[in-house]
Amino acid sequence: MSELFESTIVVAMLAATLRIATPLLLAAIGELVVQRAGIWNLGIEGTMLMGAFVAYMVAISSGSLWVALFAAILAGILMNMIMAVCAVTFKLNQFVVGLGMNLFAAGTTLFLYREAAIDAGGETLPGLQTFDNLDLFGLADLPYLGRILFSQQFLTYFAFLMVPLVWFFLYRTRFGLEIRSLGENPKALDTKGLSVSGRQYAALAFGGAMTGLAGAFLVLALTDRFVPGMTGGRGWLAFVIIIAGRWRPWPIMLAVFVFAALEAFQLQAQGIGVKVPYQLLLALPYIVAIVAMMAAKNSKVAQPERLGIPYNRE
Amino acid sequence: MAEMTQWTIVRKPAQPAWVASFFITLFAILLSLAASSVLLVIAGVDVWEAFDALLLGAFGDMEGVAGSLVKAIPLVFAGLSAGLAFRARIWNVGQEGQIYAGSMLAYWLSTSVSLPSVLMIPLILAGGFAGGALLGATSGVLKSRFRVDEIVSTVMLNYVIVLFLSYLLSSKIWMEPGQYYMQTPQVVEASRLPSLFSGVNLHMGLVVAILALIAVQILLSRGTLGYAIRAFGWNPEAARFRGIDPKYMFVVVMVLSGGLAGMAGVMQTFGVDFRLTTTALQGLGATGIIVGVIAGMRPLGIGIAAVLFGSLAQGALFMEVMAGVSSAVVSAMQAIVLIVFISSSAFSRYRLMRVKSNV
Repeated sequence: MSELFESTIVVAMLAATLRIATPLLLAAIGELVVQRAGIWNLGIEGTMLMGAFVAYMVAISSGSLWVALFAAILAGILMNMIMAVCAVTFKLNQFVVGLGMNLFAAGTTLFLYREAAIDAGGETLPGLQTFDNLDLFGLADLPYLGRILFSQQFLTYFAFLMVPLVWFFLYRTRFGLEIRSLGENPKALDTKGLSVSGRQYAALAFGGAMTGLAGAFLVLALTDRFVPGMTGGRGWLAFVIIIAGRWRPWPIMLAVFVFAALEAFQLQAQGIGVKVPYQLLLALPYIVAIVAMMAAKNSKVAQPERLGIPYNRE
Repeated sequence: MAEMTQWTIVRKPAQPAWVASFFITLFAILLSLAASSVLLVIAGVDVWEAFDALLLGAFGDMEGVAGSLVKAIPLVFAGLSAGLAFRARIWNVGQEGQIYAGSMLAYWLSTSVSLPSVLMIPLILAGGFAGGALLGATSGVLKSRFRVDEIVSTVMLNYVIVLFLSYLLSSKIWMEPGQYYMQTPQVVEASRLPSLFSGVNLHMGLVVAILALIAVQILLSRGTLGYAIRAFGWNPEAARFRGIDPKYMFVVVMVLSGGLAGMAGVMQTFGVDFRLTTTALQGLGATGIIVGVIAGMRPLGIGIAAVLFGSLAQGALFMEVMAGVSSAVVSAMQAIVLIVFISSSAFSRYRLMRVKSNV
C-alpha cells in the first residue's frame, strides 16, 4: 500500500516537473536566441506576464484557446518590440528598457484585469476550460511512463522539440551563425553588408513569440485563469537559467529541469508530509537561483562578448 | 569613434541635459497623459471625469495636498535608493525587498525595547536603514565575492524576504493574537512618526525626506565617495586606474542604496500603516525605481518626481470613489510614464548607455 502510494507520488512529481518545465523552457530557449544576438533582455518577466494576460482575456472573450494562443504570441512579439525599438534602433540602456517592460506589463495588466473584474461585477474573473492533455501514440495508459511522458500538453512537447530545433538553427544554419556572431562581433556582419538591427529585430520577435507562449501556457494549461503578477519570477528564473546553462540549448534544458523539479517537489511536499514551513519551500527556487549564479561564476567566459552593448557603426 | 561622443555627453551632463530635459519632460508628460487616456478608454472610463477627479483628489483641499505629500515621502527614499545605485551603474532593483527588510528590522526593534519617543524614533530610523542596508549588502557581497549579477540577486531576495515575513506572520511569531488577518499588532505609540502640524495628517518623515535629499545631493556632488560613485558609473575600468576598487564600490553603494530603501519602509510603516502585512509595502520599490530613472538620477528631480507620483496615488484614491476607476490605474500610468521617458530620452543628448562599449 505504502509502496503504491510512493510510486504514485513519484509519478505525479515527474509528470508535474515536465509540466512546470514548459513555460521556463519556452522562455529560456526563446530568449537564448535573443541573448545570442547580443540583446540583454531583462523584460522576460513582463513579456511573459503580458502573454498570460492577453491569452486569458482573448480566451474568455473569444472562447477559442487557439485564438488565445495566437494572440499571446502576438502580444509577446509586440512587448519585445519595445526592446527592439529602444535598444536596437535608439541604442538606449537595455537594463532600463527591460525594467520598463516589466513594470509596464505589471501595471497595465493589473489595471485592465481589475477593470474587467469590476465590469463583470466581482473581484476576480472565472476560470477557463483549458487544453486537454494529449494521448501520445495511444500510450497514455502505459503504467508510470504513460502519465509522465505520453499524456502531457501539446505545448510541453512543442517546448522540448524546440531545444534540438534551436540548437540546429544556432549551430548548423547560416542564419544561426549570423545570429551568434551578432553577440560576438556584429561589425563582421555589418562590414559584409548584412543588417545587424534587422537580425536583432528578428531574434527579439522569436524570443517574444516563445515568451508569449510561455505566458499563455500559464493560463491555458498550468492553471486555468489569470491572476495579477502570476508569473511570480518565472521570467527572471528563465534569465538565470540561460546564464546557468552557459548560453547553450542542452545545458539550458538541464537547468530548466532542476528548477521545475524544485517546484514540483514543493507542490507534493505537503502530501509527502515534509515538515518545513511552506514559505521555505516557496522560497527555494529563488535561493537556488542565487546559488546557481554563485556556482556559475565562471560561466561569464561563455557569455556572448557583446551582450548588452548597443552596436554603433564607425 | 562613436564611443568618444558618448564620453563627452556623460562627462558633463548638467547644463545641456537640463535644457534638453525640460523639453523632453514636457513632451514626455503630454505623451504619458495621452497614453494613459488610451488605457482609460480601453477600460471604458470617461477620461475627463477621471482626470478631473484625480486632480481634485490630489490638490483639491488641504487634506489632499497633505495626503499627496505623505505618499511622496517613501517615494523620495525609494527614488534616492534607485538613483544612487544607478548613478554608479549598479543595478539594484531590490528596493522592494530592502523596503520590507528595513520595516521588519525597525518593527522588531520597536517591539523589543521600550523607550520614550525622542529615543525610539531615531532608533527605528537607524534600524530601518540598517535592515535595508543589510539586505543590500548581501547583494553587494554576492556580486563582489561571487560575481552574482546584482540584478538577479536583488530580484530573488525581493521574493525571499516577503516569504520570510509571511512565515513570521503565519507561524504566529509576529501575528496579532486572535486575529484572522495576516498582520502584526499596531506599533507602540512612541515609535509612530509624529504629525508636523496639529490637525493635518502630515508626519515628520517629510523633514527627514528633505534632509535625505540634501544629504545625497551633497554626497554626490562633493567628497571622495560621491566622486567615486560618479567615476565608477562613467567607466568602472577607468575608475579602477584611479584607485577605486570595484569590489568595495559594490558593497558600499549597495549598503547606502539598500539603507535608503529601508528608510522608505519605515516611513510607510511607522508614519502611515502602523503595522506590517505582506502586501502593505508592495509597489513602493517599483515606483521608486521609476522615480529614480525619470528624475535622471538627480536628487532634486527625485524630490519633484516623488511629489508628482505621490499626488497621482492620492488622486487615484479619490478617482476610485468618484469615477469608479480602479486605483490600480496608478501602477499602469507610472509604467507608461517610465516607458515614455525612456523612449523620449532617445531624443536627448543625455543618454543612459553602458560605458563598457569602449573597452
